[in-house]
Amino acid sequence: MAGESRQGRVLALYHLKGGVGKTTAAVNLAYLSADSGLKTLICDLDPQSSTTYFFRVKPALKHARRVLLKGGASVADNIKGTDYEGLDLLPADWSLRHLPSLLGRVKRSKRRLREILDPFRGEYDLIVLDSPATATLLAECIFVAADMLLVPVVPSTLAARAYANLRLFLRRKGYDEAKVWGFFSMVEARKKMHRATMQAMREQFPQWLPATIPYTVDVESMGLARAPLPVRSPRAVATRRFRELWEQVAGRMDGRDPETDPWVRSFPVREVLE
Amino acid sequence: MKSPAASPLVEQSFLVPSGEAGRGVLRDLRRTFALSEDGRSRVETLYHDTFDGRLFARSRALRLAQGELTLECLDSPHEVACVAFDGSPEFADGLPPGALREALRPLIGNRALLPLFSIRSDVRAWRLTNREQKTVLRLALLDEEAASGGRSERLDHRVVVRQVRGYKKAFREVCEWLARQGVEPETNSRFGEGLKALDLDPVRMTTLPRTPLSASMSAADAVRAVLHAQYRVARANEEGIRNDTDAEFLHDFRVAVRRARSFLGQLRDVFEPAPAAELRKSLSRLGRSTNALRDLDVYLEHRKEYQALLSDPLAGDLTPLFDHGARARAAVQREVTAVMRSAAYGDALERWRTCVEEEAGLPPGRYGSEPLAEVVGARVARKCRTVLEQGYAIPENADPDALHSLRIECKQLRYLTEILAELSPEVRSVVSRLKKLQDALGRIQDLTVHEVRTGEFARALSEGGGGAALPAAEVLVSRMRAERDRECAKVRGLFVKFSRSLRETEPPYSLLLPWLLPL
Repeated sequence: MAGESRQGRVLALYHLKGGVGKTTAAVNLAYLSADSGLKTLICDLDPQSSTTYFFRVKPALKHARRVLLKGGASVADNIKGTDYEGLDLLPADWSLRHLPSLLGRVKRSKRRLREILDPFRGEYDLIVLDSPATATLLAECIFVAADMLLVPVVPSTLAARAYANLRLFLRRKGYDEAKVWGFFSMVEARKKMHRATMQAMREQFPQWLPATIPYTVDVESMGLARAPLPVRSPRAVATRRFRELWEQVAGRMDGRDPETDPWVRSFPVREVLE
Repeated sequence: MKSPAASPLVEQSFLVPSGEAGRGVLRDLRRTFALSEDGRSRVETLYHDTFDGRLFARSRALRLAQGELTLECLDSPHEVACVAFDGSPEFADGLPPGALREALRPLIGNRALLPLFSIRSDVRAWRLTNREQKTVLRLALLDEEAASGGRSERLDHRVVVRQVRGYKKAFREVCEWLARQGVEPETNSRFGEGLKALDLDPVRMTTLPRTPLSASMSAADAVRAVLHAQYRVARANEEGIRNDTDAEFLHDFRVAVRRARSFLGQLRDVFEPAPAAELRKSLSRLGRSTNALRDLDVYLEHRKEYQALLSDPLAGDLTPLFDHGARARAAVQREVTAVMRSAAYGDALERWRTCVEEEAGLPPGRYGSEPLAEVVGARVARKCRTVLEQGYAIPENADPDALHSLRIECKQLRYLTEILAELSPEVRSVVSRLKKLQDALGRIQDLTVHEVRTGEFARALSEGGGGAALPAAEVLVSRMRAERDRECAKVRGLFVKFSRSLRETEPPYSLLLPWLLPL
């Protein structure tokens, strides 16, 4: 809001497993954030640059790595406006595949991404990070930079295992687990196994957002349309679910009390993680 | 690490003349760049300011549009502050807490915000896309109408070209194309365009005539112009008084009446004595009919200050006293409203109008054809001598009654001096010193009147069973006296500063040098 100094938050979509719907969620949540009036920046950190492709932005090949390491005006100069008011994008390109190894060579590497993003908190209300599936130093940079780590989980056995590993890793490394929230993605409610896995995981792990994103044609065809779901299919079930998810994320980012917030069920951390 | 550049929102507005030529430019623009339409909307923007244009005077405008209240800076493209807001803003204190309220408070104090004018904008949004069908430029065509008080005026079409971040080339190309078509970039603000179209002056209560005074003007013509300005101010404030919108409407009405009366009294021979005396008497009645209401307004405006003079719990005990005052004020307000609807009031205003608009109503007198500067200058010199005489006579601990007489003389001198200040800007420093002296004298007078008023209210409450306010009122009265004594002690110092300022100016004050030398 004009005249008020912004204190932007950083929301990271992360999972060490690929193909769980991180980019889809990042694109839709960033769009819904901008649509709700928040000035939003989405940062594509994935060398596959799917988010960049979604927003029809042509990446400047081999530059993204340098831009990210340099920070400051270099990042500002590379931000592109999207088709949507209030939503900007920091595009990615193939050069980002070298980013984790290059990060290892800079001082205070884990804080690097946070330091790069901090100046932009004054300009944007929300910064969304679309992370690659990685467990490298870049992942730790993301954990440090994010105010909220949102983890899409496909309700399958392997995904559950990967999620357990992630939480274990965060705990062992001493990261603030309170900022980690999970939600179920690519859910096929007619599958008994999906329903059972969701129930088991909700009992086993804390901090789940209740919204579940279904596995539908609308979500699948987002890449074809190159537009966020609320734009292309405003009345689709998946759009409704993403709206619910955004409401819940915004509520958490606003610091609503988990004790009184009916959206969120919190559970104590089980010993299984130890 | 280098800091990022500030938010690079680049926007340029162009004014496209209405009519066929303008429509042709817009058609060509759309065809040349293959712009696609992006929807239509209507936006209502309502601008607010205080009765006396306090925001405008400080290059600010307050606009309410699409559920947002925004304070904008008129001499730069920046917004000062913005807040989500429903309804109609009235006072700074009634706004949600935040930057906007804090920015407005020092600008408008406790004055009411009033609608100034509105702009209705029919917006057509267009976008320019690249080969990837990605938006690289946004444009908006605005068809606008400004409206105020039942009057409306169309504004020129406006094309707003907005750069999409990271796509400078498209922005540059479209701006250059428009410039080549002879379309002018907009230099005035939308607020300024609206004011111009409607011929509005936000500082609408000015008590000085719109036609500038000159030293060689005949005294009768000049004073008539000044009286006319006072008449317009009085009329402009009537509605605000009747609706009880803001106490300042009554204040300005009374100042206009008092100024007019003072000029007629001070510059007697400028007009025929008999009609001038009749008008003066009629103005005197107008002023008297609002005395009680103004006294109560001032008393209640000091509420917080007076409560702060007492410590808790005594300060809280004053609440019934001020509530009683507010009830008394409401009753007096009804009386004033009734007076303003009466035939006698209508006759008084009609007499005033006739005198300032028709020469036959107030024919020139013995000095009517003399140059303004000489007539007013001579009168200022005499009045100044009176003020100096009375001022020198002020003892160290002056009596409030004696100071009241000095206050009246100062007021009359200031009104006359303000006319001279129109002719010679250097006199403004004298006006400024005089105002400081007057403010101190005014405060003493307020404290004297309010001491009496507090006693009256406390007794009335006590008779009605509200005895708790009585001890608090007694303490307040004693504090008021102490405060008044402190103010009285300052008066002599302010008087000396004022009289010194007279020495530094050209005639007519230099005529007083023999009087000023002792200082």
